[in-house]
Amino acid sequence: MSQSIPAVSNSSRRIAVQAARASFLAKLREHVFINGAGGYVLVWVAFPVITLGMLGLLYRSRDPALLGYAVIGITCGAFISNALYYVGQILDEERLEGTLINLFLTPAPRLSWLSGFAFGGLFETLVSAACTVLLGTVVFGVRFHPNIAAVVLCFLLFILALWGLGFMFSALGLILKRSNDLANLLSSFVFLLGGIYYPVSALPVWLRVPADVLPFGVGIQALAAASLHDASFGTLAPQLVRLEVFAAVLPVLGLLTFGWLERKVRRRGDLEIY
Amino acid sequence: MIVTYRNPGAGFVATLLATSRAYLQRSSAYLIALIRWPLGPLFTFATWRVTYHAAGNGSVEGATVSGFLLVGVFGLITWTSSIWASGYAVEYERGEGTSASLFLTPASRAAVVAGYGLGSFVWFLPSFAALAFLAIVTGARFDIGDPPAAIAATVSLFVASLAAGFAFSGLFILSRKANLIANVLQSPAYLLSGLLIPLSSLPAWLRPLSGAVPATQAVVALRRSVLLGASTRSIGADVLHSLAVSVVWFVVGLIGLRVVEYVAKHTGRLELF
Amino acid sequence: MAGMERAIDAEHLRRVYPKGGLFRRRGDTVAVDDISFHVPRGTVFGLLGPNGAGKTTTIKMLSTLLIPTAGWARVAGFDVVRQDRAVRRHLGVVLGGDRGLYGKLSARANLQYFGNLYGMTTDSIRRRTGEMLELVGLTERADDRVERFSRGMKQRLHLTKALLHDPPILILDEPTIGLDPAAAIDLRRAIAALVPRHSVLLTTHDMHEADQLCREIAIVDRGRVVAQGTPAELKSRVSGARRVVIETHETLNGRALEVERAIGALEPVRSVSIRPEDRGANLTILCDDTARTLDDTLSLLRRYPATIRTVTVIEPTLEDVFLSVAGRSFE
Repeated sequence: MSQSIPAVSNSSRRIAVQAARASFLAKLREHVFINGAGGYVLVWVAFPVITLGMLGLLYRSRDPALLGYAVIGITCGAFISNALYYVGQILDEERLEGTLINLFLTPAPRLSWLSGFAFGGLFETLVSAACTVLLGTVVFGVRFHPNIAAVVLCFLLFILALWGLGFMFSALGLILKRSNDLANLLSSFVFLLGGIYYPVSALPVWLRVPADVLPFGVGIQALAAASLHDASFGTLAPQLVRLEVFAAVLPVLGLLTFGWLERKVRRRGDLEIY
Repeated sequence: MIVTYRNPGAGFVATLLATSRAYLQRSSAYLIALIRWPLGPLFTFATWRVTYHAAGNGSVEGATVSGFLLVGVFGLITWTSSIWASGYAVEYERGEGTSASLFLTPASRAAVVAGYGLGSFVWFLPSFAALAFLAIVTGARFDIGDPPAAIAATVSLFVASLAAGFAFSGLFILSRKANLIANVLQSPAYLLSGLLIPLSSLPAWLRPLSGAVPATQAVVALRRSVLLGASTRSIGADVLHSLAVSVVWFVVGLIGLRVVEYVAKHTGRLELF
Repeated sequence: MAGMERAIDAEHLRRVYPKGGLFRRRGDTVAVDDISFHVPRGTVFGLLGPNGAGKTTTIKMLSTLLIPTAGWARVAGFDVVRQDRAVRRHLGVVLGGDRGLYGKLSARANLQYFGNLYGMTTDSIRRRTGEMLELVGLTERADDRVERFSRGMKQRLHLTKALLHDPPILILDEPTIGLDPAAAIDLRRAIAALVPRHSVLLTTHDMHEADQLCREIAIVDRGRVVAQGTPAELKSRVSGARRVVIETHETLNGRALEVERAIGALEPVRSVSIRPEDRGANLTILCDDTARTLDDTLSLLRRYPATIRTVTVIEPTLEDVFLSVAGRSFE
């Protein structure tokens, strides 16, 4: 008698990779083909382009250096929005579709499909970031003098920190419902304190305290220095150290928060109620 | 028992009020919604206040930055509530699975859409108060020389927002991408209606487009009447301009709502989400 | 609608869904091909058919949610396209599924809201809400949020919402679907009590429900009415016939059509359908002579070979009527 091949994989690593890949492809397919390649890209382009346009009109005559900063800030804003709207909000969308329970029923680790969704949403994020940089360069004449290695390192650390926060937002959305409201609220909070339109130093002193414990301002500042002014690792050292701490701590904290709040929701028994 | 019915006019008002009440009840069921709406506009105000500070602007078009932004964010709130409440009304119903129940009733669709707008406006009231407080604390100076002028400008701003809501609600019924359209429209509207930056800074080629947005002149009139002491006579042209554009948008919206419902029923897309 | 004999008239209704987007068409899907029927006043009329037969599309056209591609219909004497508002005023509809109510509102708040949308006066809404909630046994849960209701409770609330403005005509789309047996029995009782005050159009794929509740039934299959009449009239079409159900151990994969043809060719057999199951196949045969059919079928099956698990002989039901007119079993 021939032995039948198991239809379900027993390897948890394989399940995790498979789940991440499947959720990445599902989101990418949805974003590119179902919504149409021009669909949400429009949203993701309209907002930064028009915001940069407004800032450009304001900063142009006053302080052109701020314009370069704003280009980097808004480009980073696209990745922050990815963490907020794709990692943070995605579970609520699944709940609305009625598919959230199915996700939780799979043996795949939460991290795998959450990461897959985040990668799937990168399509719009990258287009948005590219358009912002293009607008800054072509229309507002911003010039880049990058230290490539520093830009790459800062960017990777920044993204890791953002995803850690994304998992936390996601968990909050599980318990509070209406993640879109949460993402919008957090987004306006991040725009105030995150140093996106202006450096954190422009904030009143008492607002710099909460701004300094968030990874946004330090990440954007490091990326602005590395990409606009060819800043060396030495110059960037204070920001890099802080970014490394954020990149190491936030993902772990994010997953712990997710696990804790997931248990809370299951105890409350309203996982599927929107 | 015998069921008694209201006359059509009273029915319209009852539908409007009932919808706005139901909207408020449903929205207040979410803790995050209770927190978000009052806080969101405050963050936006503060962000732009710091942005102007960073740019070194002490005043805008003769008004204090805080005063200028207070009126702008006030306009932004009414615009947001018109797009995300009135315009989005049918989409909310779809999401909730109640659009068929709604379309099965003989109620006026216009009353339902307006009810969402009214509910959303009430929902934002605490936000208005907090915003005014924050603006005063950060240096806003008011000069209301002619209160009827301020009232006329405020009314024209609400009418403009409601007209935009009507115009978009039809568009949203037909499209499964209402969220996308609403998001895409939002940013250009902020730019064109001069909510956050002065109209005078817009490139000349954008200004005609700006005039076609109903809220633009209403915001100008409101700023002049509450920040610069303008009289009813001097803002009259702006208010009339805004009302005229609003009427066009309103009529287009009402016709659109009817046409689109018919087309949606023809193509079987009414309940699709 | 005083003096009117028919609550609903539907003539040659047809509904075609274009495939593809608004601007790109990729052919059509025919959901309703040609459906005509008339619902007499003060009765329960059933539209019976399997899933996808076109029942829900038909009631969407009747309830003004969808415009027919061809044909016409009148509800309470009003044209469903040209007088849609008047139709809605005279109609209460329970759509299938448990959506259609505001989850974050209480049962009472839902009814109050819909009462306003139907233009009822405040006093009418208040009294009628109380009465209706009492009638369906939801008074104690009236102020609880609907999202916490069981499916059965939601379905009762749906019925209450449809009855709130006291419409002369009710359309109920699969009202007992997904309910547990006890809840379904309760709801059927409530539906039976609606006539003769209300005229009811009921869609269902539950044969027993249709048999039990409807004075007249139209059997719908693939967008067409394939048979119509009272349950007794419909069953008389298969009078003298018996249904023989044979379960085999083998799935008959690849040969099911051949076996179906061979059995169908037997003299006493009126119709036959074979359905593959998890472990074997299910053969449903409508025949006039049970003994002969069994003899012939069993010897035929031995040739394939197929071994028999169970054999059951059943009195004719509406399911046999469907088998006889549609040439396939119901599921």
